[in-house]
Amino acid sequence: MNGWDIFTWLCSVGLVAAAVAIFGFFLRDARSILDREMRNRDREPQSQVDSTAAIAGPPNGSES
Amino acid sequence: MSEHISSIDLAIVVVYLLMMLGVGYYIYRKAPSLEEYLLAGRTMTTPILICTLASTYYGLDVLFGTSELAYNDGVVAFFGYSELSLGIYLFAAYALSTRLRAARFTSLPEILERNYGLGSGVMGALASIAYSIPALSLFAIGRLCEVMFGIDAPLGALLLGGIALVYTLWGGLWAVAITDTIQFVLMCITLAIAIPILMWELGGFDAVAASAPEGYFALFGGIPIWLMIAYAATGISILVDPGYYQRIFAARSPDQARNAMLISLVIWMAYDWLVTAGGMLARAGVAAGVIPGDIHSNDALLIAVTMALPVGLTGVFLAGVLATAMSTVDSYTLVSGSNFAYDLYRPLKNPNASDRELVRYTKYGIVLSWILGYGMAFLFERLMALWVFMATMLTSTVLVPIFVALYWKGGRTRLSGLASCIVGLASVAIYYVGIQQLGTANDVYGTYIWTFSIGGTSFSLWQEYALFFSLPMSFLGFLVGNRFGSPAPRPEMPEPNE
Repeated sequence: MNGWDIFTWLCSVGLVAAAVAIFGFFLRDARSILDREMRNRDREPQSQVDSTAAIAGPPNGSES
Repeated sequence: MSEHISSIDLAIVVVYLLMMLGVGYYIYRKAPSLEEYLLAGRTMTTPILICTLASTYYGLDVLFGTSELAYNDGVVAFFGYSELSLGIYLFAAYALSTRLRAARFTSLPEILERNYGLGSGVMGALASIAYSIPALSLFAIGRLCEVMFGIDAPLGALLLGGIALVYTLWGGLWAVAITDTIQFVLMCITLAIAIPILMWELGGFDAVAASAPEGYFALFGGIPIWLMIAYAATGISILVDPGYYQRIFAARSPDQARNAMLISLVIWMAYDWLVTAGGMLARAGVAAGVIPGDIHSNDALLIAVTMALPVGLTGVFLAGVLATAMSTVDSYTLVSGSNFAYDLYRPLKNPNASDRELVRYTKYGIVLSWILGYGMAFLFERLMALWVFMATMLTSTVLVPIFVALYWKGGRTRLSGLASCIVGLASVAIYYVGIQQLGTANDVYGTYIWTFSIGGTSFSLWQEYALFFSLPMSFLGFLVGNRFGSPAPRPEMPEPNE
């Protein structure tokens, strides 16, 4: 087994480990985000608020 | 259909496609607001950002382009082409991502609009839309369908690209991010399993060395130094890539944006090497007679891996390859759609547009971008050259005014941003047309080169050197424009640590 083979093995093992670990963290985060979102929706039902301003504020430089 | 694909593999691909649609429908039922639709509610954490950053940037063009280079030229595909832009990515991680996230923008053109006025914002939006049209990815999906499933390329792109369109329309950035995560896992795991199997079956890199031409293991091959710098400079496009900006804006905090970018860099490097290794091993397979000698070097990785993998894993790998392309299509059509609604429709037609209206117009923009991409995919022959031109055009138009807006503490006028955009764009057009007219086509590198001599010394200007010309011109345009017109208001730009 030469140096290129070892480098390839390291990349493969590292990539699998990273993908599995990141996916695990993703599941944890996704669950907490969705739970929080559902709680927020229960508290503020159905109001269709215009959040454009909340996103960015007024475009200060706009000429329009 | 390829003889190496079984019905089990096909079933796995179908399950993957249905899963993507299911995710889109799930988000659709939650009826996301504008901020949720465009920026996932700015709640993306590091793991989600890593997945969506890594999978978005890795399109089929990179997968097949890098493996083709490796197949033909060896390790230079990794050291000479893929990794030269590392310094730029590190800058993007440390200096840019935290500053962008702290400033709470919504889109790249909005930075121009808020710093220089409507004209610059519109220029930025048009350049961003042109750059984000998914022609190359849709073409690649079609080509994949043709090679692997025996479906006509336009029909394959219509079907599979259509699935990416549907789930993006349904769920916006949340759907894109969640599907990107599944796609990221598929991409990484399938390639990381396939390449060692291929290595083991073909006798590893000793077998590659035994059949390789001279210079196959030379780290930087014989690439001209200026061309290497030009390739490294293509990494500059990430500094203004609207898909990258969208993800950074969607991060929960500046630190999470930076960490995600740094971890993505390591993942990209590992992935790049495995793709390079796959291309080189495919060549050894051809030399050994295991792989047919008449394959196109572009298809080498795909054919080698599907021959090496057992039934079932081949299906997962194909789903991973499809994922590579679909994650690019979904991300950039969403960027185009948001530019269309938020950066063109809102400021030009209806500044008081409601959330619901902007989400609707974003969806119109997504469909329009997809249709344009589909048309261009099967209309133009040199798609890669077209994409390089679009990336150069976007960078030349918006890089200077955006960086001035983010980093320059001095005063500026409204005209400075617009002049910088216009001069940058015009410089690229003039440079490209000039080199095409004065130079000659080079089939080896697929570009135009103008060779001339001054005082007995010969010089060569490649089309790829356009940024060396257009960026200084764009900065000059900014300086000249900054001497005229009314001062531009400075929006609040908090420092990253505030």
